[in-house]
Amino acid sequence: MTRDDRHRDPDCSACAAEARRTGSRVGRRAFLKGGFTVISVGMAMPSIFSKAVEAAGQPGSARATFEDNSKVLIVIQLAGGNDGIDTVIPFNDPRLPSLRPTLKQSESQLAFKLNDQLGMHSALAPLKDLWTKGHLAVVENVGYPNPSLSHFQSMDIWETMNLDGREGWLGKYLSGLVDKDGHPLAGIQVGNAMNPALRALSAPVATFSDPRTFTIEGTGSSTAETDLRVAALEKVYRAYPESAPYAALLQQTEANTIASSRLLHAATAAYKPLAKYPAGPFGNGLQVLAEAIVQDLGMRVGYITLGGFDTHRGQGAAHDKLLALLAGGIEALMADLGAHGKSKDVTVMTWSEFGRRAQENGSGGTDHGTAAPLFIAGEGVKGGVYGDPPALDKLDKNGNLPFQTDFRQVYATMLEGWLKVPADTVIPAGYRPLPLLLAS
Amino acid sequence: MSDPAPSALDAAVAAPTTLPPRVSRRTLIGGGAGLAAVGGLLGTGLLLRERADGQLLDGRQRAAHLLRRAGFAPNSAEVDAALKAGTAATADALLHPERIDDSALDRRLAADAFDLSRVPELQRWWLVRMTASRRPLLEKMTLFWHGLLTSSYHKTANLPQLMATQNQFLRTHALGNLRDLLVGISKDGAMLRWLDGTGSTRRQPNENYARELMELFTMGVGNYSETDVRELSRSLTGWNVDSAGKVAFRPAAHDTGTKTFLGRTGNLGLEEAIDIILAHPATPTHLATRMWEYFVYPSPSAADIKPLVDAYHHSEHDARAMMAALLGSPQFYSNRAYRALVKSPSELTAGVARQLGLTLDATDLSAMAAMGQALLDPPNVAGWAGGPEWLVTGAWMARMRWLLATSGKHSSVLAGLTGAARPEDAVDQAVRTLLDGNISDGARQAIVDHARVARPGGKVPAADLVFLVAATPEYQLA
Repeated sequence: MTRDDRHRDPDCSACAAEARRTGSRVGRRAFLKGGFTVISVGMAMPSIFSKAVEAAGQPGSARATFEDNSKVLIVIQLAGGNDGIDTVIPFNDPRLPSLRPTLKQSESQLAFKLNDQLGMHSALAPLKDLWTKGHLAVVENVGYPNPSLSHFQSMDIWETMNLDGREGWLGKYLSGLVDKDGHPLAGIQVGNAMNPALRALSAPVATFSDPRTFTIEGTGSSTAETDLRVAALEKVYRAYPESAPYAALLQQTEANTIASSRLLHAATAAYKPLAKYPAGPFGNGLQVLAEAIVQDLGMRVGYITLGGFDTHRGQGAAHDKLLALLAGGIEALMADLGAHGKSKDVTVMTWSEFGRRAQENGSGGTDHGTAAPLFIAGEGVKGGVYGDPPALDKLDKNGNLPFQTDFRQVYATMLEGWLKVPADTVIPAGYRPLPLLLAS
Repeated sequence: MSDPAPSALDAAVAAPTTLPPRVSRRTLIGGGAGLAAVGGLLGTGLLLRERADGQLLDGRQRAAHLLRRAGFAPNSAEVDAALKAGTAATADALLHPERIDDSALDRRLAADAFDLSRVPELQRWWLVRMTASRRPLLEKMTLFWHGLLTSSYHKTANLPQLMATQNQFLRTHALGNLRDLLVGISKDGAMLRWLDGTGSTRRQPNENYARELMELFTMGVGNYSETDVRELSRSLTGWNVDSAGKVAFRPAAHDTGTKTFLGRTGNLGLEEAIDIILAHPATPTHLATRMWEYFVYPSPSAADIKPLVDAYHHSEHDARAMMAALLGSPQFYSNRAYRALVKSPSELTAGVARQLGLTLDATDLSAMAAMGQALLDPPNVAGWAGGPEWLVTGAWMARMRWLLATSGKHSSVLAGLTGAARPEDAVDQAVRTLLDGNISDGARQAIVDHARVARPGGKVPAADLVFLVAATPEYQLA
């Protein structure tokens, strides 16, 4: 288990039909950006988008517009189920030695202590500076009632809240942004798959790992030939009947890809990282997100996955390495953004579909668990620990931890306090935000 | 600090056994795809003819559709042969690969002297099989099982040959009895590594394989309890792969105690546990649904898969019998099924290579990874999500880049286009070869217009035509 299993909206032709019926078709618009024409993404938009457009015209609208708020949320998914007990360690708990005969760090190994009960795993040392400055919130025991121990069911719950399966919480936020200019890079997922949290029929989300290969060019072709070819390709996609299979998806993908690659390509030359990121795809991916922020490409949500947390066997060294990557990556990202004068605008949050069993197993690993801590970092964060140490004395019948904070409270916090939209326009109502952001 | 506000989620998770299985998303949205396709294609310029009962009428389309689904996009000669033999006889031949002479492929593979203990060579060896085998359904079924009963070379570490052993095992049993397949994969070295069966002992059983065997490989989530997960993991203890890659049963590590698994009690071992899973009603439903969604269209109804479930029971769990029911169903040739699936990167690359007569190499494997599918390295234990996932922006861009790089490679198709008298003839020829002759009027016109404008040296831009036809929305669909 390293990434997530998903079946994204198989088709949008039904939505196109719906859009035609309701007359909410939004045509393509061209606009000038950086001296060249960008085709905006508007194909047949589903009703949520048209509602947003209508709402924007009314005073006191609940929805935010793109220009209202330039804050960026970076989401780091720890896929596979991160062992919270071996991340934020309840080092003083007398039950720990018997629950974790091999997978525990002693007080002297900790990177730093958060208080007299909780300390950070040694591999998280790169986060110490953020903690000392008060820019790191540790939210303990995050979960939900009646937890599922299936990776895929639990991810579904975190990403889409199992509501209707169509939209993820971040996609719903993005598609609700009223964006008169049409920013094709409002959402960026690093990698070649898209997390369902970003899914929404009209959310402009680009997925790529390397901006340099995110372009269509012909070997040995002149630019004029490339332009002709791409123009023909666009005509071919526009000619595809709207009622044919996967029409809206294919057409939106084509339009969004071409537009975002043009935007990205114009920017790539200028950015220079001013921090040293961890080697490998995770560090490179964070750098792509930093670039989008530094270049003002209009990104509002950046998403990246670090996989490999499903540590049923031989957890020790593998988990150490992952935590070091995570902490080193966050440290580099924040330093890079700071050096570019952008750190005020960015908050990073982590999540994982579940924590792991309190009792380690016989393979030097841990099986699937439930609640776990997550991190929220940035200059807009009020640093500290939110919640109690994990209740190792209150394990359920499967030997798993009870949850204390509902993950939807964390979402409500970020939506209301950072992204500045009413939380109930994205997630179900009734989840109280946590007081972990500074007033802004 | 928790907010116990009632919500749809709380209601759903309060009764986990009633949660819809993971296919629910496709049920919600995928259904729209097929229905819209049936209702909407006519009159939009697509040359799709249907009978009153919703069946594809055009013989060439039926033959190409069968070969695409039960294999990879066929070249003109393959379609001609299937047309001549008829779809029923062609399907029957595909279902019996042992009757098909594939010695030319064997000779070619032997001549290349692949070292299958090296992952990149194993990947290339498999891609050559997909591209050149005369038993395409066998390769397609192997790919299907690889995406369902997953393993990745990332966990075979110093024993990469385990992936070759597993791949050959899946091919041997791809159209065989499901009991053999499930028992064998449960004792497979790469699988024992991938889901931590190795080292799972009676003292401390590891739950990883037990959970995924039920959730993903056979029954689907919601059909078992956490107690069943633990009891199954106890039943499977003792199977081990050693440092040389040898799989053996170690009696001392096996839990010989009494287990109660899915309502059956006894001193259960691996084979007894698999038999209990095979007898559970969720298993044929789950497997038939997975097959249908891979080979026909998303979100089948209970009536759609009933012949497959019946075949499962009548044949005592035979995959070939289930596939015969699938390929023989009227729905398989319906308009709802036509172009209702998104081609995987394997299907796209192997199909282009078959149609153009190209040989693929390591560069093509890298391109497939950029499109989202690295063979022998699924993203997680659930395999590739597929469908619309293949069409996210970066994956689509990777397709376009690969098609552009590939379309200019020398082939008889390319040579034929260059010699066409008029741009229209060249475009129609390319559409006939690559797309069943079936493209929207608007797309055809756009490509013809391009052929008129971009004429290096006054010639038809053959490579551009291959690129544009293969880049169409239509070509991304199987």
